[in-house]
Amino acid sequence: MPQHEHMERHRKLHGRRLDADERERKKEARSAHKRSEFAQKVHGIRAKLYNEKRFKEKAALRKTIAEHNERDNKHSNDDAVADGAVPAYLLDREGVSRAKVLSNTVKQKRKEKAGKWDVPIPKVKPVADDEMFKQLKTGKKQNKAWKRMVTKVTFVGENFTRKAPKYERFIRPTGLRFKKAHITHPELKATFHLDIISVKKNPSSSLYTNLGVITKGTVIEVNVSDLGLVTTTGKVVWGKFAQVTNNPELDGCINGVLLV
Amino acid sequence: MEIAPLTPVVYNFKKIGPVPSATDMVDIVLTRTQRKTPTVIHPGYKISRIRSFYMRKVKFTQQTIAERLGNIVENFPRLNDIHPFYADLMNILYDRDHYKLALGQINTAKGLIDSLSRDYIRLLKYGDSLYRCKQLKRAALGRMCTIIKRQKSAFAYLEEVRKHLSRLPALDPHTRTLLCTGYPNVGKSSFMNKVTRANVDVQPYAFTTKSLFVGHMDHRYLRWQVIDTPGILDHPLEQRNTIEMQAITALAHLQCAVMYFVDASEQCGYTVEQQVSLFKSIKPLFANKQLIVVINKIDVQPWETLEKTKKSLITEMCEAANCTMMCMSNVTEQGVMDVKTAACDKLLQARVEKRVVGKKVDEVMNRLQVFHPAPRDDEERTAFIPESVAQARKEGRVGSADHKVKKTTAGYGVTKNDGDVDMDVRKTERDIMWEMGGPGVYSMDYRKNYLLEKDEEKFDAIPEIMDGKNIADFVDPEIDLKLAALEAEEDQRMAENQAKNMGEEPESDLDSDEEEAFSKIRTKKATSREESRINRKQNTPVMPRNVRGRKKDKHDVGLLDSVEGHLDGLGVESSGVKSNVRGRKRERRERNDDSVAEEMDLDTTGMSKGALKKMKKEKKEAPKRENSLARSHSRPREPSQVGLRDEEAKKVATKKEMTAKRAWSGLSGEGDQRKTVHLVKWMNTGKKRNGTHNKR
Amino acid sequence: MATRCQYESSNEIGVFSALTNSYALCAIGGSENFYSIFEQELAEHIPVIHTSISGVRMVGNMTVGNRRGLLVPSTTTDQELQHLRNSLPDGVVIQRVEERLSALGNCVACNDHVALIHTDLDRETEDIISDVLGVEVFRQTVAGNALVGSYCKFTNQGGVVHPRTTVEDIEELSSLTCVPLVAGTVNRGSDVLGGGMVVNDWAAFVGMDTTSTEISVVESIFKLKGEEGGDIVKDMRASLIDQLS
Repeated sequence: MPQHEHMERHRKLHGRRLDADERERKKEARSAHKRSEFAQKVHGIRAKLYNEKRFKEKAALRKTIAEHNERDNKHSNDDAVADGAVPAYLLDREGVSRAKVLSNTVKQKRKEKAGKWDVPIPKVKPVADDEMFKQLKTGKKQNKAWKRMVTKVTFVGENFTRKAPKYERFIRPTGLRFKKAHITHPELKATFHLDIISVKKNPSSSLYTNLGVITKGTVIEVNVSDLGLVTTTGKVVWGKFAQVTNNPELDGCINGVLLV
Repeated sequence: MEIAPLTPVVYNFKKIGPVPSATDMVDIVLTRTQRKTPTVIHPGYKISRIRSFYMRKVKFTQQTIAERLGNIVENFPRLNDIHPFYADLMNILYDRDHYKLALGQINTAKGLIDSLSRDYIRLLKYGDSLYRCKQLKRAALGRMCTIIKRQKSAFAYLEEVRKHLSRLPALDPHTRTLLCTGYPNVGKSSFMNKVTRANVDVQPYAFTTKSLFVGHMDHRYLRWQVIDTPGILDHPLEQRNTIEMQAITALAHLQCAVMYFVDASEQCGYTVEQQVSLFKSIKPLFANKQLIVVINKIDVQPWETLEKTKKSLITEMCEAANCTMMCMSNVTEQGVMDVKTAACDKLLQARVEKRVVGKKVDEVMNRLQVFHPAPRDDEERTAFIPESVAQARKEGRVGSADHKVKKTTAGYGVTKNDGDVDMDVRKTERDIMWEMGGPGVYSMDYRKNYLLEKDEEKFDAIPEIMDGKNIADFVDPEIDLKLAALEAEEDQRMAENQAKNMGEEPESDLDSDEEEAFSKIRTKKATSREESRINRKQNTPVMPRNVRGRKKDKHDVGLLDSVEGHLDGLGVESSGVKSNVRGRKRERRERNDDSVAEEMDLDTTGMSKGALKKMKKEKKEAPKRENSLARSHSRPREPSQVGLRDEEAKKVATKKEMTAKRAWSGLSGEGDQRKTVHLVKWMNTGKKRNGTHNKR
Repeated sequence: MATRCQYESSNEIGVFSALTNSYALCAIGGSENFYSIFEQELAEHIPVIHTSISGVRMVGNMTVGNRRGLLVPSTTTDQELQHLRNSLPDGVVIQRVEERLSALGNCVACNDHVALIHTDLDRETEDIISDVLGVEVFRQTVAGNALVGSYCKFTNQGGVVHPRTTVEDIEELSSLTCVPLVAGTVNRGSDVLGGGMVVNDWAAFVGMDTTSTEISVVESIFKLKGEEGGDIVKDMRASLIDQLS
């Protein structure tokens, strides 16, 4: 009766076949060719997936190789140090290659150059009314068409009560009402699931803002009390603006970036 | 009424299905969705149809995932439900917290995916375009896959656990168990190999056995389980490693007889003092168990020549624990069986005592005692054992366990050992079967074993039905006796009759003519019967006259021809019969002809007699001729030539037809049905780069 | 000696074979393996006969017999009857029985002196049984089961009854059959004794699943090893208690 590590036990008792090592070596040697053959043959979605996978593997490989190698872009450059006597004012200068430093300064400058009031999505595609609303036919003969149903995701305040159906022009369906959003803090590089407090601005139309419609580029106010952010005066911040970065009606969730 | 099986539930963890890795899981789920749900959708469809198409996809994916994850959660044993021994063992091997956490995470993931799919289905209800529905579906599936991917480590861990669990020995915690314990290298595994066929690895170094091993043996009609544990060292429980802890778990949880092995020769590298102190430290684990201290390796260090101090140490230890001490050696096999028997008997006795106290034993009381009958009358009811059996018993061929019978390897082919039996055993039907081609090819003739009076009659073919009678209806075991009686009676009757009819002879009262006629009648009857029999047998279809026409051949003897012979046979005058009938027919026609001639009366004056005669004849023949001509003219023409004016037209038409036919190549006409291959343009034009064109 | 065997991987050998003191019946199978097990043990002493009953292989279920005779159901074909008549030794009477309960083997349990029969069996059948088999006939049930042939098995030397039979019932049955009885099982706890084994005064065959405890009970109660066989009361008590409760 085989118990526990029965494969190893069998190997111990009976050994392996004589050409086992040879076969393993050959298999290993052949694997690159096999892979290449497959890569050349494959097409369509499988090719896409395969290439993606392979790309990741290679990236990981490069990374580890780079880690193992000497870091050659920032090492002290002995050649750059002049032979012989060096004047005092040049003494501190080691032969550091400037590449890294340069790139850092460039990045810094770019950041400063950007305006302070920029939002992540400065331009949005305007949403037309007939895309936003769906006409509802009402009346006994179904010939009146003054009612509108919002087809996009909306935020509706907690204490909202519907008007009587006779006077209700805009209907915001409950199925499309959202209360929470995934908000990324750009500096912390972390995402939080936060309550929405209100819709501040829908860039397409003020009507949409009033209705609380959330589309791509909409600025919303979210409850950040959980994050424990503090103002300069020491008060705990609890409401902060964020801009929506996705199409909530297509993705089924609201993603946004905190505006800081 | 079902009787509970004799063996209780055996924990078998081999049934858990493999757990796929997270990426595999995603692949499985998505391909399944792709395969099992419809794939064709167009923006022109009704929006409700589009919505339900995508809702179905989302729901299906969620169901698949739930099913898969549910299986995993369900199949893995729950630590609270299984026997504490296994629960503890799993705690040691896989870490209880980690295990529970992994399963919990899988369960949570399942719940998350459930609620996710609910949300997305709700959103899909408001989808107003194919694009929006598709995006929502995509988002839903993507998020489900993300949730699965996050459980990567849990999946990997569970798969490892499953693999290891499936290789654990099938150990039954409830059954009769012997358990070997002691320091490493004291001969526990060797003992195990001696009493069972487990074939545990034995090496001359410590901790060869790294986990629990199970072997089985038979003793007193019962099956016993022997457990070999890894050796344990003498240090506090907290410092024990996984290997030792397995042994401790087994000791703590299993109801068994424990054999504590002591190596008196100290070959194992531990002194007797150390071994005694280990015994003392794990003594609490021996409570409520049958304990035997086994002094091993007495071939190296016999008990008698052991140092006094060590001897006294061991005996004191045994006395303190109130257990027996036995000596044995695995090398010389001295005392091995004694140890085994003692341990088994001790355990069995304890188990029986426990049972007898309880109520359960009353239920099986009827199976523990033999009920001897009180004699009902003074009739002797003896056994019937044939002489040959008694004889064979005396010779030891029947009824003793060691009588040499050829081993049956029923169901298998002829093996090497089949021929090895050197005694004159009977050649069985099975041997013959294999000689003659094996099962399915060989079929035995059952008649060869018949017990008949005459052996040569065995293979006689006996019909089932004879003269329209079922033979079986007349089978009578006492037929011979009855036949003899019948024959005797017959003889007697014959004799009586003979005596009665002596001198008397029967005489006919017919004269010679009558005799002749009588015989004629008889033959006639016989022939006609025979004829009718033959005729009846001709089972050929008879063509009716109106189809067949008046045509006659030698096979078709018309009524007229046969009538004559028939009448002759009867002795009636038949000469005029035939002509009579023909004559009448002709007459009628002739009469008609005459009337026609009279109607067409012509001027006959001034004609020679010959010419007149000729004319007359012609006139007479004319209607006949006209008739036949008319008939020949009215022969229907070919349909293609009907309605054509003359030969010219006919020629033109034929030519045209020929040319038309040529286009159709051959003989088929334009009316013939034909189906050509429908060449679809997009299938047959353009570049053909990917594979062959019939793949497109 | 009790022999373990199997008929085409079925442990219910009592269905496919029948055994008495003067002959043995054996079903026709795909191979001769099953037949040869019987042949090996018995053919020296009594005829072992291949047969089917009305074209069916269940010869043990359908027939009942002892050393004096054999009863077969009315559905038996003429050819089978002829075959049996030719194969059986002289002095064994074979008789067709017109009986609604045609599985006679299930309904009748008998040895050479006594028969227990199903309570619903016809009056005529009862007469035939007592005439042809030469036995005293009692209408009985075993542990509430009317199928006495299935749930008990006895020879001239001893017998086993259904494991749920009460002590009083066993005593009564024992006084009727005039042989020592014990409750027991075959085939690892199966209570269908008639299905799991075939036995006569000197030989027994049991299903392949039968445990060694069960075999030893069978051997001792049927006195297969002569008079000196193991004793249920003394030797096997501990094993039985441990295994059964």
